[in-house]
Amino acid sequence: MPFDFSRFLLAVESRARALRGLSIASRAMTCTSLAALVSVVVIRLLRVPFAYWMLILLALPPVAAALIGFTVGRRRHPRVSHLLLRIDDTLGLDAGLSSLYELRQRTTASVFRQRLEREVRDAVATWQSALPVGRRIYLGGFAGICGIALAVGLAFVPLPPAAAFPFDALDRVSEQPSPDLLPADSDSFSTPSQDVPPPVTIKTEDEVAATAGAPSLGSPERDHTLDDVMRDLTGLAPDEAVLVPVSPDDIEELARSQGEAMRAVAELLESIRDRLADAAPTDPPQLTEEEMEALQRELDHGVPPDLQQGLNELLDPSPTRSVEEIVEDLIDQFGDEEERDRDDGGGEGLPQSTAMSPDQEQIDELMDELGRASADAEEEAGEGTERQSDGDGGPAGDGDGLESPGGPSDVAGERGIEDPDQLGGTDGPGGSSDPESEREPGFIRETVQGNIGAEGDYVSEFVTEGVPIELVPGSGDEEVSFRLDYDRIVSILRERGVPEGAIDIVRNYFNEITEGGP
Amino acid sequence: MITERDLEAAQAVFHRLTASIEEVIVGHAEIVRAALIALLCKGNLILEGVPGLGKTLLVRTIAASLGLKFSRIQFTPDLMPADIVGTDIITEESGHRRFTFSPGPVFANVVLADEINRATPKTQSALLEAMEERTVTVGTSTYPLEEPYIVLATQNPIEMEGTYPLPEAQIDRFLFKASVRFPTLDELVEITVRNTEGEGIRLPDPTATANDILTARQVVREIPIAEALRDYVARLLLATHPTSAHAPPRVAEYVEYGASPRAALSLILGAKAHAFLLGAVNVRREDIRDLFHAALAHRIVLNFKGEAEGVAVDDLLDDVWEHVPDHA
Repeated sequence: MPFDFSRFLLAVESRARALRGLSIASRAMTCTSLAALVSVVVIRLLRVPFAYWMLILLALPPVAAALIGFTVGRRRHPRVSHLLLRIDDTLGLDAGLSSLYELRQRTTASVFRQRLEREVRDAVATWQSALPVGRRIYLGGFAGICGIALAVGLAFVPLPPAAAFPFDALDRVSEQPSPDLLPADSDSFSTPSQDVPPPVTIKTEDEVAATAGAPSLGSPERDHTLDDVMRDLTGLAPDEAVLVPVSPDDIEELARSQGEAMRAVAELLESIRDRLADAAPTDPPQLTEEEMEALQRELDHGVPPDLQQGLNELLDPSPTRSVEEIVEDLIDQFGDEEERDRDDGGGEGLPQSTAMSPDQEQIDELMDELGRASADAEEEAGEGTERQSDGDGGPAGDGDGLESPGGPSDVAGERGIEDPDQLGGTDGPGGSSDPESEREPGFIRETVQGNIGAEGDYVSEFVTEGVPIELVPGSGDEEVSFRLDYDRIVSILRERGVPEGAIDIVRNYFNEITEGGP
Repeated sequence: MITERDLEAAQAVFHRLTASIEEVIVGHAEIVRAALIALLCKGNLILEGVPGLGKTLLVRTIAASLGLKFSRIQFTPDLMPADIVGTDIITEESGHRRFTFSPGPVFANVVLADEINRATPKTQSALLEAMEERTVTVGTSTYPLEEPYIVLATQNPIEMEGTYPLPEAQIDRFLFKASVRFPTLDELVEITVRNTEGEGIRLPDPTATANDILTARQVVREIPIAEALRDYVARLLLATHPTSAHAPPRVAEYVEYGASPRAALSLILGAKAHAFLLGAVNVRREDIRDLFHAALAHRIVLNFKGEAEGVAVDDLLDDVWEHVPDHA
């Protein structure tokens, strides 16, 4: 059988093109799959909402790149002479094939052609071994497939805790107020600043009513991110939530609806108690199906957690106590709850987080903070008594370098103790991230005569800028003392929209330092 | 067009020629082959070696085997160009005087330029035209040289006192430069036997004609070389240039000028002739490898640092051979 060199050349060229295409395809697939993998990692780390149809987008570029690479690679003409020389070297043909190709390119016949064909005819049977599918092609393809599989797998892997990522810590630093100025229960002092935008919270629309009755955040743990807090509040992951702006009116409305729900539960409990009391002694003391459904419905609508436990116990088919006892306890708890609401905020439906009064310990901590801040400003403070001359809490700066806070709410905001995040789970700027908080605190230090001790020792006190004080000149060597008009202070604070709880703080503060004296 | 018979006849002639030369010359097979390759490639050969190694005998034997006209020029410092190429002399014929060109020793088929580096550059340059263009110009007349034509030059690497190294332009015109090595023990014994017993050295009878040489030259030029090997030769050549990106580090450090394009022609043509002499019908990689040093060594100029440190050009060429990949 004669050696068909032309057909042999076509086979060599075809295989070379295929190998070239595979090589480019594997490289393209590797690169794009790595890019897809990086994209998935970034998406997951940034906690961008991830839909499963995006998996198609992830897998598509590597596959498309491989196909395009293969097509482009096949279109490129190989250098046949070099390919043949490689086959010659592999098969030990002493450049016979490449020389034969050279002779074929010539137009004239040559005596060497026949001799060369005779020499290479038998040896070219295994020419494919000279053009093997390279290890790089296998590795490239394997890496590309692994990259795609890894990217897809990573899309399904649950995220680790947010605290595991360093940049979450950075986020916490920027989101939380300065720890030096943040009291333990800072949300008790928080009030919306005049300068900050309306508070925004992250809640689903369906969960708004339920979260309105959620417990106060209390002291936020410093290793919790906003996402963790919101997850605790709503029971939802951040990517399952939507942004719903909540205004103070909304909060009041939610609180009002919660109060109505609680009253409905209370009425239902009272009706159950009355029914059980009227029931025959032989009847077993248990709830009817209608009562259980009604209770369950109210429970689903959201009640305070301390009441949830009692309701769950009541709905328990095998309670540890009698139904009458549980109902009585619940009615008592509801009564206590309503009374607490009246004490905190007049029962006007303010969110519990904002309506709660700080306890004495929290007040002490705040006082410590204020004392430290004021000590820093002591050296810069000038003639402090002149600063209260207008008595309206307005601008009182007299060139001593201290800013006029403009009122208690501004003072709180500038000191960074106001954090909208802590106000009913709202979100927004504030805290230490506000450059305003870098300004001097709105307190000056005065030396006045107190009533501590039998002789009335002189003590250092701190008076809020703008607080109306009345100077009382001393007799003889005694220095000037001052007297506070509490009613006037309270009226001023109310005019400025300071919450009742915060006003109490101020009052308690002065009561604390003066022990009820003038 | 070369026929199968031409091919076989040419190869047979050179087999006989090689055998007859080796009957006289002991050893130095590579030198004999280099000389025949130069003959087949229309090239010239410079032989370098210490005195007494048989360089002159080798040239005389080749000329005798070919049955070609042989001339020998002993280069000395006072040799003039006219002594080589010839001159016009006044002759009187039938009462008329006229200038007649008297050809010099360069007009032969095989010219031995013995100790070529002892003549002045002016005289050395007299060979340039003959070596490259195969013509000689005297006055306004140009005279062609008879083919086949080959200049076989020798030079002594020692006794450099009073010598004139060949200029680059001239040395580039030599196809190969072959170093005649000292014979081995067995070769030396054989040399003594052949020269001291019987009738001594007797030059061989002619075994080839000029036509045989010319036919063989045509066959050699028809021998195919793959494009990939041409590319390989070009890459080898570029790698001898210090400014080339393909140059090995030592070449970049020690070489002033790399090989000229004429070196690539020498290497490819020589590889064809080498394959022909070995009975192959195409150029192989080993043909290139065997002639790589001979074709390039005399064309590479070392820089001052290379000269000062005594760097061997052959070592640099080994670096080049190792550095350049077989496949592009």
